Amino acid sequence: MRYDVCVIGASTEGLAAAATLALAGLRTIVIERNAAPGGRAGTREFHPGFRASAFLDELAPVPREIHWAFDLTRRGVLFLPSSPSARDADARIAAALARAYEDADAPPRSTAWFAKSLPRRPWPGEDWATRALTDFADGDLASATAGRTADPALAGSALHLLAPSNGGMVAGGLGRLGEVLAACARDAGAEITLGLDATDIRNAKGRATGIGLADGSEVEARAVISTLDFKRTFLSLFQWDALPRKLIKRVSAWRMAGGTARVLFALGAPPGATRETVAAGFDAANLSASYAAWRAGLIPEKPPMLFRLVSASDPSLAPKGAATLTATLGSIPFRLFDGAWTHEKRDALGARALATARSVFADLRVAASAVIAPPDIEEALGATEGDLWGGELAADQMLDMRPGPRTEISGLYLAGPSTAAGPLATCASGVAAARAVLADLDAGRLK
Amino acid sequence: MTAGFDAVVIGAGANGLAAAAYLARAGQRVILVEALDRAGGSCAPLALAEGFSASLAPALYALDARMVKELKLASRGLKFAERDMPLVGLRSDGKHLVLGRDTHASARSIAAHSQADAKAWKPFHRELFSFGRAMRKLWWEEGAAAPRFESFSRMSAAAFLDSWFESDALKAALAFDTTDGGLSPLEPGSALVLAWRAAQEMCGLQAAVAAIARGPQVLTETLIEAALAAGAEIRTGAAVAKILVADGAASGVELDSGERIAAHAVFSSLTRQRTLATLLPAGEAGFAQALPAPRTGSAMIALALKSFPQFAGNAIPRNARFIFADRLESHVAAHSAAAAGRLPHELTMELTIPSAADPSLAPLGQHVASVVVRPVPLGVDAKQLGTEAIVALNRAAPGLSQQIAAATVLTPSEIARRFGIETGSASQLGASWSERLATQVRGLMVLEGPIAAVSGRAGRIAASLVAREKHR
Amino acid sequence: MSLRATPFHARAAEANRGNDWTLRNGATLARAYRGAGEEALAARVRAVMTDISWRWRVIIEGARAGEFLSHLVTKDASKLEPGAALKALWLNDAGAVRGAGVVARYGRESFMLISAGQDRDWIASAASRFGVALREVSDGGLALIGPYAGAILKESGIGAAPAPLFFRKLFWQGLDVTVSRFGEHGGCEIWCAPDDGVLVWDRLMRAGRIFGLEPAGTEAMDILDLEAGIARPERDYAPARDGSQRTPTPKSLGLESLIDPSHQSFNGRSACLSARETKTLVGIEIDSETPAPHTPLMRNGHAAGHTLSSHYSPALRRAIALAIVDAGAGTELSLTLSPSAEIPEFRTAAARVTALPFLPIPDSMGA
Repeated sequence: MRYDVCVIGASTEGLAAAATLALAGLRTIVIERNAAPGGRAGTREFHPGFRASAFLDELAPVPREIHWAFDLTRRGVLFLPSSPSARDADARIAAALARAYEDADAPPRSTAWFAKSLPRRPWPGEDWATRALTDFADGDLASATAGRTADPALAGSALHLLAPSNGGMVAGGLGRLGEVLAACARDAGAEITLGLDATDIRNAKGRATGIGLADGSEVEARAVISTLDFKRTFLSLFQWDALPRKLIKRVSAWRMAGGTARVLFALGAPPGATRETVAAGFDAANLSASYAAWRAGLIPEKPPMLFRLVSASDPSLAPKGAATLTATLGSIPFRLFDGAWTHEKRDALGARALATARSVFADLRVAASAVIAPPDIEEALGATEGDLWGGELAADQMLDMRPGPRTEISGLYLAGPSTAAGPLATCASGVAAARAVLADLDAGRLK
Repeated sequence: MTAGFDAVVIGAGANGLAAAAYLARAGQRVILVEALDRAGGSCAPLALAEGFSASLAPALYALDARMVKELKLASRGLKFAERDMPLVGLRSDGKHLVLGRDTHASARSIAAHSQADAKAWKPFHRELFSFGRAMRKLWWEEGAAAPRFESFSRMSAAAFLDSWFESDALKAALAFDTTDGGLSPLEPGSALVLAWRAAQEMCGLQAAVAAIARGPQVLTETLIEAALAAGAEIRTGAAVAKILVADGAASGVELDSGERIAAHAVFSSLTRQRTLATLLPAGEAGFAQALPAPRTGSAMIALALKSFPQFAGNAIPRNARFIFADRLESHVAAHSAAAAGRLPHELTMELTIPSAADPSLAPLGQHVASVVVRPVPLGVDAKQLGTEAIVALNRAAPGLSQQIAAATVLTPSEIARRFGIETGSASQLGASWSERLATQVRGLMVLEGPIAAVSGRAGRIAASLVAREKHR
Repeated sequence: MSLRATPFHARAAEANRGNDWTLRNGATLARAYRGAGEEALAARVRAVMTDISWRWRVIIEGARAGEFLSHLVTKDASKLEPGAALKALWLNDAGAVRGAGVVARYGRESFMLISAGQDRDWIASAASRFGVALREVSDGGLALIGPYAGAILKESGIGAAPAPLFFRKLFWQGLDVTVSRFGEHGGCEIWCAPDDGVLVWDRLMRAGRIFGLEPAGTEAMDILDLEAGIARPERDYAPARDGSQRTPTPKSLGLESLIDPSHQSFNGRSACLSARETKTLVGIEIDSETPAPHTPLMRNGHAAGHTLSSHYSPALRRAIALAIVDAGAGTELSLTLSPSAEIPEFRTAAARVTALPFLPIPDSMGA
């Protein structure tokens, strides 16, 4: 079966790409390993009647143009913004996105990264590469770094502001967004195959020609879009000898910084009069110490934790009279210096989260809890080292230093967290990859 | 008002003297004013003990070769006692790393820690040196940055070293240099500091670290001679109170004594921050110039030793730069602590013993040692610092503390007070010279290189820029 | 002090941390408690409670009350059973809209008219011709809106809500209250004596706690009205006060469904039914977050009408507006956004006609 485009991963990015391409009239198929679409935009019932997102309560905002184009509200996605975002950050992100789309629409640069010393247009937001988060007097370190790891006093930490998690919860759970995007894609004419793994990207003479699937079958396509991160795309879907040496070097040198863990609590009753969101351990000194511990493969003494009583915003997440509390932990290493993540270690982490929760919420009646550690994130989403942002948010790995949407392999495009648009906004990198495919088709660069 | 000058140079360090010499050679009437009673800046001698000659800059790496040649400093007496000091990473297990010009020998030394790193050493060295050479166009003259500059400039030293090597010993030794300028090895731009050092050339050797025979004050003396020979005037004990500005252009300086010297070009050796904030009339500098103030500094400890230190462990050359740092993380943790105002738990230091190559610096059989401790908190306590440093030195060379005949501990604030040197920051490594030297005030230039070092290049280039202007 | 406080003012003031007040029909009301956007979203996801005491209510009593009303409003109120209500308009002689509201039957000779805008003098003068007395009512009224409104009502002890457009009186733990289903947002209303206001507020808030009930101000309600496509007097249109005024027509305000063409006797009937109105009330979706109220609309460079009220819709994540235009859904238009403090320049934004309502009304009485 020959398609125009095959998308690996029915994440928000993959579905947005597929919908865009299908609306443009291309024969599109999306291959997803899990039984349900959505990727990070999923809701898990971790205890009967208690629902929460496994990874983050809020994703980066869906750009409003994409929201309008897919008519998300009328299809059932209602975003509940929790905090007004900083206008300055919004402006930079919008400008950086516009630049990412320009790159997608334009012909490909020389594939050798920065091979020529061309006069370079600065990227919006890149000036934050020399600023520290603590430079911003009104900086909310919790919302800037929750779920991640960073020393807010070091130059470059301000780049975390370009990876916001303030798009708002979705009424009914983040999974609604995944379902609706899948419906958009299907309604536009794209096919979505669930429960099937892509095992490799077929390529011949430096051109991607399709993908191989776990059931032995093959999908032929003129273009392949991968929504997996940079490392996973090239290291798990290709034979090394098929890739240019420089690309292998770059992929190997790409640094992941997975530091997220989640603990979900099912509460018998809402805690006593309290704020809905409580941040613990987000002062600069603790963040710095936690970052140092993370670098050493240790769980910090006081990992920064952001607690959210999600059922207060959205009662559908807990049974009547009960409550769901989430804890987003940062600086939790993927690779512990003393061995693998065992059940005991997960339980211990859960116990620490509970202890901190008890110190900030009065009368906590915990009926059940679930711990999601970095390896669990890797397993569930295919996110290398559990890094939800596809790579360390460092000055040499942000914005135009990020790969994609075009790659060294003709016909292979990258969407997803590792790309420039990836951390900036949700669905944007998928739309950017789709635009690159369309531009290349229009210009005859794709056969 | 003293008239009759085209240019005033503030500060008699290498840059100031170079600027004065070049301006004078170009036919300008130059006067150089120095606040302290003697010229030299960081090359000035530092009081230690009778018969011992110490300084803040015993080992130089960034001396401008063109300046040495064009001002004929060699014929005026500038000679080197040591041309190519290797880098030694001292290890507590005695397996010290020796990294010198011979890449094979260095690789053998590294192999004791990691075979993979030993193999990677040559390609690493080649790539770093090649990039450094390519960057000379920007760093030495007014040229363009090398390709790959963008990505390199954003990399942290930690990421750069981690991408090449696995052994802590090697990364720790190499990372010391990256904190010159106050950056943490985790911050963007810190990798570029390594490239900056790799770009330099001393005594015809790329990235060499050299020591001037009889001490760096010889550099000062030869520069003074060159400047005077060209017709420049030099005045010490003359502190500048303010720079005079008329119609947005520099019009001269006013000294503490009240004397005014008129000129249409003013060159300041002080940091940009200090020049704009303290020497200009309020409002001239503009409020926008919010340069980040350095949060850490370096300290210097000079020791008069009765004998050469007995290092435990395998044999190491005597005239080397000995680096004290256990792991790459040691530099990260030190920066973190120093920036927060605390003395780091593990002091990261560089020890040199200039008398090993140059016996004239100490009485027979005795030695002078210089220890640069970096980073330290800006307000560090001298006594505590001295004690901790000596403990660390003693661990590497048992018995050293008994051999100390005299010690001088200079904290960043003492260095500022005694030598007129403010802690600079490694900013603008990517800027062009005209961006770095110019200010909003026409005719006022700041003689700052990308990283504070004894160089003279800023002075030479500033003078040539002004000369070019005049010819237009 | 002449604050013209409603019976709930004390509680509203406690909750109104930002001290953001407004006037409606002379009463002092909170414009927003936490933020209009947040409150409007809460109404869709949880439940909100809003003070509707400002609505104009008159009791119409007398032997010929039913007869009077059948002449006044565009549906036959005399057919109503006690406990039932209808929504209708009243028109001027030329068939233009003077007012819109709910007519509820309390008894054989007793009705109540509830409306957003007051029209006291004209209606009183008309009523006097039928020997019918008018009596204004100043009870407190709270509207409960949202998917958990029904659950909150049960939790409070009031019980199940009546069917839409029905009401009932009850004795609720010592208080005389009336609960009704008159509103346009699928919720219910609780009416009480002025002195009982604070007690009723407290009871409902307590019952609503586990469902996340919060108070909503007038601006959030305006946003919900707009999203529901409901044109309001004074905000979107000026009611026709002059007898010869032909506009606004019911059709142009999207209110034709409030007219029963088979009802013979209402004022302005023949003019209304013979009117040829080409314009309709439409929704305008603007490609911007900046609202554009009362702004001219352009289509291919030509004037195409203008917007009425406009707000940022947090649910749709864009500014929306009502407009009376002669164009169908999907028509592409443009308008000019006025400068603001943040963006000190005029900007053109694309806009498009869309069918009303913008968003379907969520089911409220389910949970």
